[in-house]
Amino acid sequence: MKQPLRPKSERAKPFERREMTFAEKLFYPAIWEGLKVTTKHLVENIFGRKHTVTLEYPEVQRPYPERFRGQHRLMQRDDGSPRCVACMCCSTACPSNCITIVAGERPEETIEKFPMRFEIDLLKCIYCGMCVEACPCDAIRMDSGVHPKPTYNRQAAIIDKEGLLAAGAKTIATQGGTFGSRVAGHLKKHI
Amino acid sequence: MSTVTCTIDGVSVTVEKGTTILEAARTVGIEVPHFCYHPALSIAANCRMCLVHVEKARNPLPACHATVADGMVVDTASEKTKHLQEAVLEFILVNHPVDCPVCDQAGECRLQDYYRDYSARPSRLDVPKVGKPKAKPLGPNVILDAERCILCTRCVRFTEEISKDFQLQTIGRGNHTEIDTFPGTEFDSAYSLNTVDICPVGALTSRDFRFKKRVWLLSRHETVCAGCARGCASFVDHADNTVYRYVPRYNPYVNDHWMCDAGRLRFHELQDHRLRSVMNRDAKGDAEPSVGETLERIAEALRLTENGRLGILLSPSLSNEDIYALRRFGKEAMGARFYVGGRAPGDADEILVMADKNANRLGLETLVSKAALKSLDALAKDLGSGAIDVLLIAGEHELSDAVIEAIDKAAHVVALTNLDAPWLRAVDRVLPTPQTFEYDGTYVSATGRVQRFERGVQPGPSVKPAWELVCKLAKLYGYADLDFASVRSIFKEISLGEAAFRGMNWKALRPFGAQLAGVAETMSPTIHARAGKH
Amino acid sequence: MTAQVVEALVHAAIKFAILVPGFVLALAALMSWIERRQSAMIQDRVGPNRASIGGVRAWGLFHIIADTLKFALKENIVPRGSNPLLFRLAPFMAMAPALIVFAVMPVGPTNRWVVSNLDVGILFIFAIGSLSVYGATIAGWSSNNNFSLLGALRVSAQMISYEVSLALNLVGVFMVFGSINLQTIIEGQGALLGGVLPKWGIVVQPVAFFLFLAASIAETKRTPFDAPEGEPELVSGYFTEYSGLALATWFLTEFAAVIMVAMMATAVFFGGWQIPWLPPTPALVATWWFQIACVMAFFAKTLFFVWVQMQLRWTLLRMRYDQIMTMGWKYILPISLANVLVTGLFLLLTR
Ligand code: SF4
Ligand code: SF4
Ligand code: SF4
Ligand code: SF4
Ligand code: FES
Repeated sequence: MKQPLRPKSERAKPFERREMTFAEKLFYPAIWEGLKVTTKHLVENIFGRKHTVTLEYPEVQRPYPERFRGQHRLMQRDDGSPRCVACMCCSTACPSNCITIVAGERPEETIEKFPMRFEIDLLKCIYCGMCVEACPCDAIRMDSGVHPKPTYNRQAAIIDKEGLLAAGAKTIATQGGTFGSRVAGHLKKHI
Repeated sequence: MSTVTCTIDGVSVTVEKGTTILEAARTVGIEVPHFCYHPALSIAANCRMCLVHVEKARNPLPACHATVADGMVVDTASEKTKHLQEAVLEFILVNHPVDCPVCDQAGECRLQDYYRDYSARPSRLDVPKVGKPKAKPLGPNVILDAERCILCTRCVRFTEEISKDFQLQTIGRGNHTEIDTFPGTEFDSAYSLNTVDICPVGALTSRDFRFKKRVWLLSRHETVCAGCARGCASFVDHADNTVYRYVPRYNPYVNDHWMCDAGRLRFHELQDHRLRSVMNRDAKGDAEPSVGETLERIAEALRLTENGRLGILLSPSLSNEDIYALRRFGKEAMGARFYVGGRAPGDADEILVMADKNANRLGLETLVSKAALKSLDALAKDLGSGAIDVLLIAGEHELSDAVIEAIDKAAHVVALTNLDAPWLRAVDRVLPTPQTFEYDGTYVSATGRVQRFERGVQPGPSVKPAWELVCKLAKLYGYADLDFASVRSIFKEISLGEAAFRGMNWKALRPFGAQLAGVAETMSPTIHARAGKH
Repeated sequence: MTAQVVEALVHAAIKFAILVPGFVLALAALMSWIERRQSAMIQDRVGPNRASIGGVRAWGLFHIIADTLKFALKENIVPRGSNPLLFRLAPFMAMAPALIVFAVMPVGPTNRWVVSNLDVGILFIFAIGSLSVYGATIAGWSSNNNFSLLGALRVSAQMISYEVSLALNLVGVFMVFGSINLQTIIEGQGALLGGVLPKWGIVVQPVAFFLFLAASIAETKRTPFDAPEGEPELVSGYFTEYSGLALATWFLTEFAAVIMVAMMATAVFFGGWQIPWLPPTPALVATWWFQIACVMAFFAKTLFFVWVQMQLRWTLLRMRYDQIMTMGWKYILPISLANVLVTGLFLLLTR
């Protein structure tokens, strides 16, 4: 689509080029100025590290921000099985398509759907946390505070269900929520 | 017939006398929420979702049941009506488990949609819900979650009115009412999966599709079921280049809202036993021979064949465009003899299923005249007498051992086919062709309906439709006249040149197709059954 | 006669061995560390400081050893389609001239302190030094790589262009001191102008000094004249395809050239081994401590110029190739010519 022309006042102004003066053309004064700056930094950094910004990593570590989430984990039910019911909400919400879930059926249980495979490709993951937002079961969380580790091959960066569950823990959240009974009083006047 | 005029949400509507408020509102694009109403079933008016306020009426009326009268003023959207809808939804949800995360219906669930559109309030319930059986298999194809059932009885009415086998019923009373089969029987109707479609919630789910894929991840394309000569209009739902399910598509001239279970599940066979690679009997090494080089060999053999010594065995399962391209090449370039094979006939019923299991017999007999098509016996005889040197088999066939033996004797046998079959052992070269859901084309149903199907999933790189292979073959053979770039151009030529197809337009084949000239237009048999009801 | 020749050769060989591997190559190795630490400091970083022996880091000095080991252990890749013989030979064709030129550099007051005190000293440096362009060009051509070839073309054009100005800049100095023997020129700079100012090259020929510095950096192909390597557009220029010790050879060559430029600037413009305000009377020159002091002065000045070049490299931006050429032919060359002319006129009038 063709953009409408902006008013003149808003348009970018062409840069006025001017001829360089003789002194500028010589370059030596400019070079001298440059050398002064670099030499100043050199000297001041050698004697006292005045401007040095480098963090020397293993010895000096930047503190993690308060809201750092870290790697995912899968929460467990009381019997240690995953709370996840393979609803695919997380993999649907995931903007980088890095969650692979294959659903299975457990005929003997009340919640008959469960994830046979649940894998997160941490190389694709952008740690946005959408999956956590989407999960209706408090099954996936990003609160481990564990920084993803570098791996020697791509395969090792994919964490599977067992790995995710091992990092998880039992949660006391009620499946389906207790919202109704808690807010009933408040809603009475609304209805 | 006399008409009545009423006002719905301020819009004046004139409809035939006897029309319900819900249907009248639909004619002006106003949607009244509903669960138990289904256009092809009788009116039960038991869910109350469609309640609307009518001026001067004492009580709210169910829009699906109440007929419009002259001067009626209906309100479907005011605060007052909204309150009704909210209340009804709240009642329905009282015992609903709301286990959407594990429910296969989520994403295409009416209850979910209506809850979001008409209520969206948190539950006020703090007593335990009534428990009912979950994941209870009703029959070979359908599984019931009784807790999710909202007792709209659509499924019951379907078995009473459409499949007419009365297999489902409601049992129990009040809160404890459930859908079930009669004791000791199972829900094994040949049309049972239709109840899964019409069930507005996730109470009835397909055992085949269950948990395979979330519905919002599926892509949908229009197709035609190639299971029998009825040619039920349907959708193919696929994701990741894999077909996950077939769902019927409304076409009043063919299948109404329904299709049979066998047709729905046939894609498994087509997907699992399909041919993917080119086969060449004289190929050396392990590498797959390419389509181009195989066609080159076939063209070479054809160039050495005298006029009239090529036999073409056509299947009535090929698309019109495939048949047309084959006919033109065979007739014009080679003076070929045509034979007809195809899938063997099977069972039929009074509803949709037909005995002829080929999707396009009428198309074949229209494009290649019935007289020119010789039988399989004639083929065996011609092969035996050495009347044909090269045999080209196109499409899906079920052949008897005698015919296979006869084919084995022919000097050069080429097959353009989609499925693995026993007769392939008698063939020298095989070029794989796509399944119905993998390419574009048209079929003519046994009732003369010309319907279009479109490509859903991508077949493999060596899989090419028969018409394309024939066009390439013609070029290699040296017959330059047959040079189609697309299915559309073939169909255009058919619609210009073939009397029965005259005047048809590729685009206008949507949504319901066109009627073949010379065959009387009929409606779906299920519609006949329903005529005069209510 | 033969005994004398043999003795002279042996002496020369010993001196050369002390000067070149002992000073030049050692300094070149050190420069690989200085360069990175210095650039780091200039850019407010820390730079390499991790290599350690038994926990002793020594400001990262061990990186020199680590790098050498690393270079030595890497595969020497000869690309497919290259000319293997020339490809392998090229680094040495560049390296040899860069080292040979040190033979005529007088680092101290007597002939003892120069490998070979040639009368044509500076001409020898130019003659041999210009041979190293072959090494670079052949390296680029034999690599069978377009980037290398482009780099090689740039090298050859740039080095040939700047050689002219480089030599012309020194002509003024030759005229003032009346010689092209380096030792004579250095001795000539011992005098004091008007009794206060040392008669150094920079004092008598200031314009020539600055032009010489520019032209000589162009000769060493370092920033801002490093278009032949031009990483953004040419990967690494003519030595793109080199790896392992062959690549290290290219770095050594470059550093040797940097040292050579520093020594030339010292010898021609900064009084060589002269200690300012301490004229080398014959009596003084005869004492060993004075000689050592002079040598130290020479090396100190050399180190200063090495530092200047490094500092320049991390201060300036790379020039565009056309700018380099314009600068060489349109500015430096005419100004040097004018400088020669003015010097000549001055000398003529003051004689
Ligand atoms: S954090 Fe974001 S990118 Fe990573 S798995 Fe969750 S939704 Fe996907
Ligand atoms: S959203 Fe939660 S319950 Fe659903 S699949 Fe993901 S982790 Fe499992
Ligand atoms: S039927 Fe609908 S509302 Fe009920 S659980 Fe299934 S998706 Fe959710
Ligand atoms: S099973 Fe589905 S169609 Fe049948 S009554 Fe229940 S909700 Fe309605
Ligand atoms: S749709 Fe009208 S009562 Fe159910």
